[in-house]
Amino acid sequence: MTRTGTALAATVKQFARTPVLVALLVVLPAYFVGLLGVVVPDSPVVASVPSATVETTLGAAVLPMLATLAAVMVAGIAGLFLTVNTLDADGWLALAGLPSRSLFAARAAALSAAAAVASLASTAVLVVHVAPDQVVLFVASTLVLGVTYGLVGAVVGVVLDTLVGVYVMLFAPAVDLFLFHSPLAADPPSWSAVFPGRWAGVAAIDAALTADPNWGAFAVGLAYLGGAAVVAAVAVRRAVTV
Amino acid sequence: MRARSAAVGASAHAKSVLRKPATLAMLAVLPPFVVVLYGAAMASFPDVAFLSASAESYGRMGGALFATAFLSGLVGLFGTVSAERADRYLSFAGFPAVVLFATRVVVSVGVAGLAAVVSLVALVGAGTGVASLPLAYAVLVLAGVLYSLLGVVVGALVPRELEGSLVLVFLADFDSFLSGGVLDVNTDFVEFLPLHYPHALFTSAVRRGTLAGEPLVPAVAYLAVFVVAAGVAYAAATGRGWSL
Amino acid sequence: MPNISKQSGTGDADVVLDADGLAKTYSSRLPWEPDVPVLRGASLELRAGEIVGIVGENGSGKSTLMQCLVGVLDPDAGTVSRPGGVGWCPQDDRLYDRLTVDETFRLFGEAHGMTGAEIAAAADRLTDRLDFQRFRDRRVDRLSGGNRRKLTLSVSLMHDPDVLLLDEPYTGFDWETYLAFWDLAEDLSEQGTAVAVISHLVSEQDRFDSIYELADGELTEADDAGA
Repeated sequence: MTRTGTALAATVKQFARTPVLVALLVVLPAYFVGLLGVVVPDSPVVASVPSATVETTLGAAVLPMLATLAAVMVAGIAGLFLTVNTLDADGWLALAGLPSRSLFAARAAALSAAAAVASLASTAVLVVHVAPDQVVLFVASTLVLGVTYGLVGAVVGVVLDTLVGVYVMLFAPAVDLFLFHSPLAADPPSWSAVFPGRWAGVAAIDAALTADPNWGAFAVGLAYLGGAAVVAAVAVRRAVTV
Repeated sequence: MRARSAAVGASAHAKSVLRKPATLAMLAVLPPFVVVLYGAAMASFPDVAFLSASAESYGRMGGALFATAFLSGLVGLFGTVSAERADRYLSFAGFPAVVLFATRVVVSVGVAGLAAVVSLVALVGAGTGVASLPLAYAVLVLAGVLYSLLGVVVGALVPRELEGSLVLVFLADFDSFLSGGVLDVNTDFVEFLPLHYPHALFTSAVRRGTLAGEPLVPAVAYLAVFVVAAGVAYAAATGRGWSL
Repeated sequence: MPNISKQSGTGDADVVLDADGLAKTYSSRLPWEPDVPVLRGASLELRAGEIVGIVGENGSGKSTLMQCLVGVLDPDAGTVSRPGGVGWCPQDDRLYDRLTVDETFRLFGEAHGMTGAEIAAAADRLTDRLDFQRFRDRRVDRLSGGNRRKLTLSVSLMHDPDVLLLDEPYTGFDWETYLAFWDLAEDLSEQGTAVAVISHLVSEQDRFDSIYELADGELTEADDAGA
């Protein structure tokens, strides 16, 4: 564990020593949710989650989803760059003998920390406008989805060009959460279930709008997270080593 | 002399953008993806303020607009960040900053033009009839140039790819969510979003084949403001290294 | 790609690195861009304690050759055998720019499998030898180019490898550091480490046991190296 611990400490220092980045982890979700909370009206709407149909206001229906989306977007972009920015140095470190699993574990832990910061910042601003019914599950689901997209970002970053990767990580969470799995969407196509938002995202929205935890969706979300971790570990290892 | 410098500069900047296979592939492949996905997703929204039969095509139109705009925005951002030191060195070597900036704008228009073609072809190919292709194309290019200039501003102020991408993504998503009409937001604030007027113009060009009666003047005014803002930010970045 | 930490091997103990018939061509994904053949059957054998220079024009493929020797790049053809541990000083500084000098030593020392005491001793020794000990608490992105180069060089040899492959190691060095580098290289050679230096500056041929020139993708031994 010493090697992983050392790699983790180095990863945290490498990225936490960028004040602008650390600030953005908090400021961007906060601005996003805060401003939308002010702008979105309280007109009555019907929100759909798997367990229930809820009559509520537009703000109460969409703001939790937007808070999750904000954390997910931060995590996705961060995952991409956390991986891509240090590929050369990581390659040299791997050549020096650091096992790729140690480096991956360190990076995944750092990404999770970034996603946690963004999730907490998002939720903190969200509760100013509307409080989720189950705050802990809401944060946990948001975190799971954030880390999942962060790992997807890592894969996208090493497989595609950075610019292309950012484009993908801009649209994928937005299409997933804001469109396909929005609580305002009544009947998304069945194939949209392949998106991670169908599971951890829906668990988050469910936790925000109802008192019944959607453990099934959360569990599948965790499974998606595990799958994304495996794919990311393989993709990054191939990118770092020859 | 300045015209020749501008041509040389524009050619160099264009090559630095286009000599990347992944960027070219992205130009061709991703906008159609976005158009189709947006259309499929919007079809499941029951309460938007138009006939449900056109929800899918409305989604595709939004997808075409956003796909073009954000691709151009990212190219503007990344181009500015990656070339910031080189442009500063060029400026030091004697290339007039205003000409350098003009070349960036020219390349932005070119990239927006290419992205707009792909998005428009995808829109038509997905089954949405376009009443006026030239007008629709022009509006897409306008949206692309707007976002490309926004990308230049962000890239000049935050000259690092990670942080700049985060800022641009959050600006872009905020814009797309509110200007696309998915959320029925009734506030004057929405009129300040970069894609608010292009969205109305594009819808009119696609559905009615005309821009008459649409807010063309505010859209062009917005473009002028962005050109000035991008010029100031760019000049500061290449001249004095002023950035976060 | 094999880990290049120390490996036990059979065969001639004197030969610490053996490369045979290396070929490498860079191809572009864009069909209108030409392929660039760089290596066309380059071969090299390094023995314990040798100091070897590799020279060539800009663009002749020296860095490509070194990356193939190290194992970072797979050649299109040919084989490389590395019975001993290898240290590599790349031409570009592949460092984590927010870490300090000491933190960099710690991280790479862990990767090499060194103990904390060994890492500390290596850091003390090398920062003193190359005269950058007063920058140990400074972040990499706040080091001068020359000091970054010293750090890269130090990290490449901190684990006492059998073979040291150095790509333009003294770029940015001041004169005293350049001399200190050669003192260090000669000490390593006396201890049995083979040192291969890629440089376009081999004006002091008598420092090298052999000098090879990379031209047209092949390595040939130059006639005017020192004994």
